[in-house]
Amino acid sequence: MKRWTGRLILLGVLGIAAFYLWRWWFPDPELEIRRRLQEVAQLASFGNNEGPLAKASNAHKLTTYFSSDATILVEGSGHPQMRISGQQELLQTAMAARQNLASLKVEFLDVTVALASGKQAAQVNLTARALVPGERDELIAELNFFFKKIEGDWLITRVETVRTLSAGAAPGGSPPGV
Amino acid sequence: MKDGPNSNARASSVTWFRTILIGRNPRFTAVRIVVLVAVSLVVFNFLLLPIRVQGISMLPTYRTNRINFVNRLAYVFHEPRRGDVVAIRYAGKHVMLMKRIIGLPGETISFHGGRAHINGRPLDEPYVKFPCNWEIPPRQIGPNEYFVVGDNRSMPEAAHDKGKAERRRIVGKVLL
Repeated sequence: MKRWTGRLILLGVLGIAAFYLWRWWFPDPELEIRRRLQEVAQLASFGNNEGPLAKASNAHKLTTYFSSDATILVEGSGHPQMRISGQQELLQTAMAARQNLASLKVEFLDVTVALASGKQAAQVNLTARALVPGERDELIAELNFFFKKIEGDWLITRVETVRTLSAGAAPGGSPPGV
Repeated sequence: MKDGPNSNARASSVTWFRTILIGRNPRFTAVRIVVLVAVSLVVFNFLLLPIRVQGISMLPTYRTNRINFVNRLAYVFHEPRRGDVVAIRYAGKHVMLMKRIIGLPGETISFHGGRAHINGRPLDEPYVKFPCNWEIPPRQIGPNEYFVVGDNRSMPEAAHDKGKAERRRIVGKVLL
């Protein structure tokens, strides 16, 4: 009886180990994308105690989550539209933010991942919340992230703002602002 | 024998404390706790969403850091109405916009001299205490859209989130 109990326990442990190994070797794309987004949020955030080396290192690491031709188009009410093209410009922007702000906390909430049929691309819809010291309100925007699997890694190819409240067209189809 | 009265008093206070803490019938108390937790989870996740107001766009009606609730059942039997203060979701319900509906589907909205106009007629808005000078040309509201704006019109127009919200984004009506 004891021998059988020992064997059953061993079998259970082996089963759990096999499951985790499987997940490690063949990660679920959705979980992988969620994990990468969390890392992007962590790398985009910084505290006032971040040293110069850490600043450069984290800003550089952040760019590795984006494809070389990635485009970021972000806009918020009362803020001008920001367009960043490519890893180099992203690195400059990340460094400039770290130079100009004392700290920044970025959070991604309500993340929804939609995988394309071949599981080689994905679109992520989320709410981004950024807390900048000295600002009265948090910066909040609904964003769409477009991911592509490039050489085994899920990389961000495009980020764009979703207009939660649309201005819309004037009657008769005139363009906005007329 | 010596500390008999003392030990009696201690025992009685312990019993009294136990009765307050877990009730006379612990099994019944456990069932009540489980029911209370289950009901709270259902109510505060699906029926009344607790929210904390942040920002100044709904001043003076709603002040920042005030706790409120969003009634998710408000629009089960009827569609949103003009004047309703509603919660509008971004990607989900963790962060929402709190705005007042002033334009209904199919209407045309505009602002002249800071006053909202619906289909060319000025709208009476007693809740607006801070006047503005916004000028917004006429906008047609789509069949499944509502025009929402905050009560604090003293903010610069560009910094004030307002516009057409799709019906599917309206999570519910703000309760208090």
